[in-house]
Amino acid sequence: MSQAEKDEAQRYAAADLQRARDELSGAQTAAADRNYPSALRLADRAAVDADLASARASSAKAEQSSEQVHRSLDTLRQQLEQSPAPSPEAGSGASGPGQDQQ
Amino acid sequence: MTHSTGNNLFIAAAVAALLAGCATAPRTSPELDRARDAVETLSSRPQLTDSAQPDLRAAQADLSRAEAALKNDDPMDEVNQLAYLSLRHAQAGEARVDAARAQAEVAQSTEERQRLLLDAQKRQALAAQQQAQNAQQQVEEAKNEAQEARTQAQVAQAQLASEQQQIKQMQTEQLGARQTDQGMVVSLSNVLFSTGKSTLQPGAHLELDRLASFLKDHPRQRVLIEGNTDSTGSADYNEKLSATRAQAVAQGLELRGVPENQYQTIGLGEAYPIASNDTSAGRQQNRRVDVVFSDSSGQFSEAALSRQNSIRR
Repeated sequence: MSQAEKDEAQRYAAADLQRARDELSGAQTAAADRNYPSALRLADRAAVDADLASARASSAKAEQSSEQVHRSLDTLRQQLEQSPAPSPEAGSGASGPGQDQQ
Repeated sequence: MTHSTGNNLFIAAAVAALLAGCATAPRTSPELDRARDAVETLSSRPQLTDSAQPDLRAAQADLSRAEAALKNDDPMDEVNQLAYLSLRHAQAGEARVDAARAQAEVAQSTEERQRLLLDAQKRQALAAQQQAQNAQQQVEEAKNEAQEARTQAQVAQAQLASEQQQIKQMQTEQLGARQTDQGMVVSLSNVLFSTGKSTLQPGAHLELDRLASFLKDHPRQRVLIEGNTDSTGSADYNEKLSATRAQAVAQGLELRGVPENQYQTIGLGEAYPIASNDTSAGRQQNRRVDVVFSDSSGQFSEAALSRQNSIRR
């Protein structure tokens, strides 16, 4: 649960985190009622749901930064296209070897 | 018998149990179905990353335990609990695969961005280099052109000087000219005038023939015909007389067909004697006409022009 909170699951995977919290408090209640089998089950569920919340938060964050980098790449491409093109000889000379290496 | 009866009872019970088993549908669990689907989806992802491997193993382990529990007729709660855990592990694995893919995209885009920037810098540098080279080339071309023009000018100057030299030589040899500060000058010493007279003496004709022939051969050459007198008579009278003497020579050239634009006349009066006016011989030398030559392009020397201007005033 604390790992999930560290991964900002509250912001990126709120539903999964809430479910884990509910299960955890259910486990605590069951333990208080000495219903240990139920407490154990709910605790196991809370653990996997917290892990899922953590994984989904990481995924959402990575997706977000991927979009950001992609946008800035598009912007850069547009800027380069708009900037005055160098002379044809100079242009082919610069991009030719560069592309071969790629 | 008892044994046989017992056997029969056992068989009956077994048949009943079998019948009961057939009548009851096989136990199913939607939770378990979802877990199976999720595990299968995750395990068939082509780009299953290392980060998702523990999730897949946990999901498969829980799924096997759920399947076993179902087979063992364990309580459905136990089956569903294991199926739930398996499903969540599989879902977490999916999320980790997605995260890894997005992170790879970030790295790729970042790299691409850097490559584009580097390429742009290279292109700019190359364009600048090209520009510098072009500028250098233009400078070289301009230098060469200037050098060529200088060489041409030098050649032309040398030609002109050589031409000038040739003409001076001809002027000296054929006409008896001499170098003075005014330029090449021929004193028509044989064109003698009597005191107060401007009529050409017969001895003048040979000299005029040579001068006229030279001027017709060199149409760009011009001459300044300067009339001079001795100091007999007033300065005013002498100036007019000297002008008339110069015009007499000009007339001689005209008669010989020299174009008008090649000569001009001026009367210098008694201002430029070349000998003493105290003796008869000196006075005779001073009664003369000097022919001043221009250079080969028709320009008179500064000294010749300033002498001309001093009289005009």
